[in-house]
Amino acid sequence: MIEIKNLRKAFGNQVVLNNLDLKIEAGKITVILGKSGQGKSVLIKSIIGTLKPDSGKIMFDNKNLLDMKLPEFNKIRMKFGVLFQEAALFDSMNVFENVAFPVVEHKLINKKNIKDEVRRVLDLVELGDVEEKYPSELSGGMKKRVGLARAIITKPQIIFFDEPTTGLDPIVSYSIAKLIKDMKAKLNTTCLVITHDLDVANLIADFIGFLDGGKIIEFDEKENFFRSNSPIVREFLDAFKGG
Amino acid sequence: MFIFTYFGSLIVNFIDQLGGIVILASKALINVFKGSFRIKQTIDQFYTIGVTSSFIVILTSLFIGMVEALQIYHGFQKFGAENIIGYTVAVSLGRELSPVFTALMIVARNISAMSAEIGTMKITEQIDAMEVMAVDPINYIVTPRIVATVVMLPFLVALSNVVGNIGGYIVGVFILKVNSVSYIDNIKQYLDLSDLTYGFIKAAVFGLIISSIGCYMGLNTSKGAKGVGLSTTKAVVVSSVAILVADYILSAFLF
Repeated sequence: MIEIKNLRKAFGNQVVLNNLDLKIEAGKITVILGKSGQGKSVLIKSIIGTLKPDSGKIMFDNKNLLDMKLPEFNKIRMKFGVLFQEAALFDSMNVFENVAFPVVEHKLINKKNIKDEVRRVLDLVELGDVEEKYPSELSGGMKKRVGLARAIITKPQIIFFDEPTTGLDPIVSYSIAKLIKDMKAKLNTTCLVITHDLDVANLIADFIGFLDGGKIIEFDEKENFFRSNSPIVREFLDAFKGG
Repeated sequence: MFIFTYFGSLIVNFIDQLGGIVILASKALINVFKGSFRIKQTIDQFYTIGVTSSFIVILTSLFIGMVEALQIYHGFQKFGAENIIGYTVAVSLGRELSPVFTALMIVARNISAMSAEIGTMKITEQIDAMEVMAVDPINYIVTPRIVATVVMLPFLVALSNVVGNIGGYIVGVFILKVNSVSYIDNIKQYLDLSDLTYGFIKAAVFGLIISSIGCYMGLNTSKGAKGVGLSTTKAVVVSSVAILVADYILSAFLF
């Protein structure tokens, strides 16, 4: 579905992505693990176009996203859903307005059906009567659920999750991870999840990649990944077990 | 050598930021002429910039008019020209004081808030979220703010003129005992319409400059809460200086 070839991104002298290659399979959950500061968020931002890589290719439906002009790229973006690290809900809007935002902006749904559609996606993310609440009145976990509802209301082909459980307690983290898995099963979407949380990866992943030194140094099906012989991967896995 | 490096980087930084502000303002204005114009967001900004700023503009203008009358009276009295203080207050308010002070008040009240709000949206990835949803943040956030500031500032200057002249009249007539009829007659006789329209044109230009600076500083915020504070401070300082520079240029070369 998405194939990344030789992706490179540097900030000054610091090379964050160093000719990175990655293939994201359609209809699967791919998790990218890695230590902090290894460029996991830079990778996701490069794909969704909020950062411009220095070189390389990001192929989606056999088209290179990096060669596209903004109007063409925006059409592709309509096939993306993104759950940002802190949910990135609009402070000035209530939950209903936040969730409805993309469908209202692009007139994807008839005006009189918007309310029902918002309710439907809020039910999918297991949120009750919160439409009138503002982001400042929500807990971290609820914000993530609202962010996910906003991401899926456009029926995206692929959903990107940037550290979906960061800052959440273990119980809420588990419920969010389970939600991602359920969501994928219900909507049959492709998911790319960036995280450093091994428990989340173990629970939801079909494929796991390990990002280190700006490259994916290990990529395999979940079961095989956990049997990796790579010393760097083993160190990460063992550190998590120890923790 | 250090001095050259220091001043060199300052100049490069200045040109870089000036270029960024001009490009942002151009993109925002192109949206207006293309007709991809957001009426609801613009009306919201009309209210924020125009209506909610009225009180502070009334308050400052009243005292500016009063002080102006007081100062001019003491000067003009020496030449027996105290009867023309009405005109002098009106012309100085219309051409200079109302546009400059009103713009400075809008900087303090609205441009600082504009920069902080956009800066917070930037660091909390709300702007990124908008982009990812294929919504142009310049069209959604910047254009309504620039349009509203450009449109509302002349109205606020008109309000400032009215209130400032009332302040001048109160001090001139009731405290300094200048003849009420000659106070008004001098304004009617000498004040040109152009004295007021110059002020309105200045206000619109100031509006374009300060709103572009506020939005630019907000959009270029980084480094968390401290960054929001820094960009807000920069927005206020740069806008205030820009008003005075633009005021001189407009006064010297256009009017």
